[in-house]
Amino acid sequence: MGVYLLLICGVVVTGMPFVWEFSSSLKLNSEIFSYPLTLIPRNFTFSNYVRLVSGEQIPFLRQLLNSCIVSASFTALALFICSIVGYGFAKFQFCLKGPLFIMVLITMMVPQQVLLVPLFLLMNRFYWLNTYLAVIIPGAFNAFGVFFMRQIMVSIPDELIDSARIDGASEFGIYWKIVLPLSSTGMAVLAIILFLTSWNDYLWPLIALRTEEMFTLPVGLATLLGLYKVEYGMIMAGGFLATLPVIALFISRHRQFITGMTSGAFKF
Amino acid sequence: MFTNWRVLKRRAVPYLFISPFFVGFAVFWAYPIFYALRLSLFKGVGIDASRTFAGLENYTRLWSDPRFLRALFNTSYYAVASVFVIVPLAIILAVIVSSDFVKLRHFFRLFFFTPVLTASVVVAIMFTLIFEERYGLLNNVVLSPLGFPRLNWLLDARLIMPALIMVGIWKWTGINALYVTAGLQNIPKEVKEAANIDGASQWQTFLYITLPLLRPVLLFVVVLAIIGSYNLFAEPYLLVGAGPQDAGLFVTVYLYLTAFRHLDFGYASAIGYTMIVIILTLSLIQLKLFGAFRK
Repeated sequence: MGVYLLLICGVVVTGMPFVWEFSSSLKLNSEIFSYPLTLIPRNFTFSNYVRLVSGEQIPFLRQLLNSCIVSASFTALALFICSIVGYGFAKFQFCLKGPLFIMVLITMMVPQQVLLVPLFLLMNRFYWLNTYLAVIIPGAFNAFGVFFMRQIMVSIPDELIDSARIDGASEFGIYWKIVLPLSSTGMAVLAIILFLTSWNDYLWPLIALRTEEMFTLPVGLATLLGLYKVEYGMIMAGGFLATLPVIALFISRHRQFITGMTSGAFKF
Repeated sequence: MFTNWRVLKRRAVPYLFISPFFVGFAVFWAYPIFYALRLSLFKGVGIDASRTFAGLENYTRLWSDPRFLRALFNTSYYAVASVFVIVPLAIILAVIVSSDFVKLRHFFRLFFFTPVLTASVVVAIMFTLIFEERYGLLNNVVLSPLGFPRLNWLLDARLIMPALIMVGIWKWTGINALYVTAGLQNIPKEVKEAANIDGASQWQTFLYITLPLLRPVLLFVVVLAIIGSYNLFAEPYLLVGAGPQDAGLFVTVYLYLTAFRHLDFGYASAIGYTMIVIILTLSLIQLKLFGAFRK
């Protein structure tokens, strides 16, 4: 019926940019800029990919590596911080709990823009500019993650923790061996959110990273757009490659994605 | 003394657990926030420039700065326009996807979700070839066949905002539909059945029962959309830059250019703080409008 037609239209509109990007990545620039437009390339070529990966315009492989290192480290560090802090807020009673938690929430309300300049100057003072540290550390103190982990851990039965205490377990041991494993499904969701945020991040890496060799993938790819002679085929290839890991992750873990989504985390 | 030590250790434990966040909070959030405030009260260009105290001069300068005002206008226009298109579209999509088409439903939900996973940079990349005047997809596949002239989307001052809004719609409708779907699922079937029994038509049920019950979700969606619009950077920056007569200049882009091209950190910090005030005020207004403070 008409409803299906609408949905099909939606699918076409949503998917077309991806399809067009992929199709263009397999064409030479001369074919991209010729009539009539073709969906399936007349002259199929992998040269865009080859030239991109060979580092002709940008150190693609190095930038890919940078993105991997940064995103993986960021996710691991943020997971640790958010889970341990979330546990503290979830399962303990202490005087300043309320006000301190409010402070956590306040950070979520302030837009990133204000922090860009002072954080840049701070990174300069630390000598962290153009290093992995600048793109990994500051963001790892993620208020949303703390909030998220707290919500997850609140539902862990107190009796489990108390009995572990009685059995003589250390506080950190309780966190590490009991609480963490029990929160693993939630942590998987958060991990995906964190990884994606880091992998796709553009503005802060653009500011904090200064040389091509240190750029993450989004920053590196964006430089291709500003070239005097824009290499469209290559850019499309780059865009496609940059999105591949995300799509792969999505297909294999789509349930966690949807859960993460409806917790309101995606602000990019 | 021994028992006092034990008690002290016990009391300290939660603070130890939460300390990692607050150390980072102090260094990477609180200090920069106040540093920015201080910066905004000084004049001086460059990283190690000697700064002269300027009081509120940066702030007053903002409101007579045509570039800032244009950026503010553009960003606000984008925010309002995209909300007015995305929210209804998302609601329609959510209603369709929530109704009873078994297996395909899940596929559609997943599919419409993909744009949001795509990096802004990649989105910008994809849309450069779509908006291209002579060989772009939009002009050649949609406009020409229907007899319309080819439009210069990214270089014509009147078309830049519509183009960017289209990108926004493409990217965000899916996930907002997902939010609304979650909201729809929270509406108990009995309420709609009761309305049906009382003789309400589908349309009336939707208007007077479903929509009001969706209010919290819609508030969430709208607030998030507006805040997101004011934070937008990559797509306008990469697709347009500033555009002819700043037709595509967004506030965050202007902040970036002021800080990292002109190295005018004080002025940029003033922009940042002004935006905080504007965004917070807007959020409060929306919360009030949607009745978040009512019982």
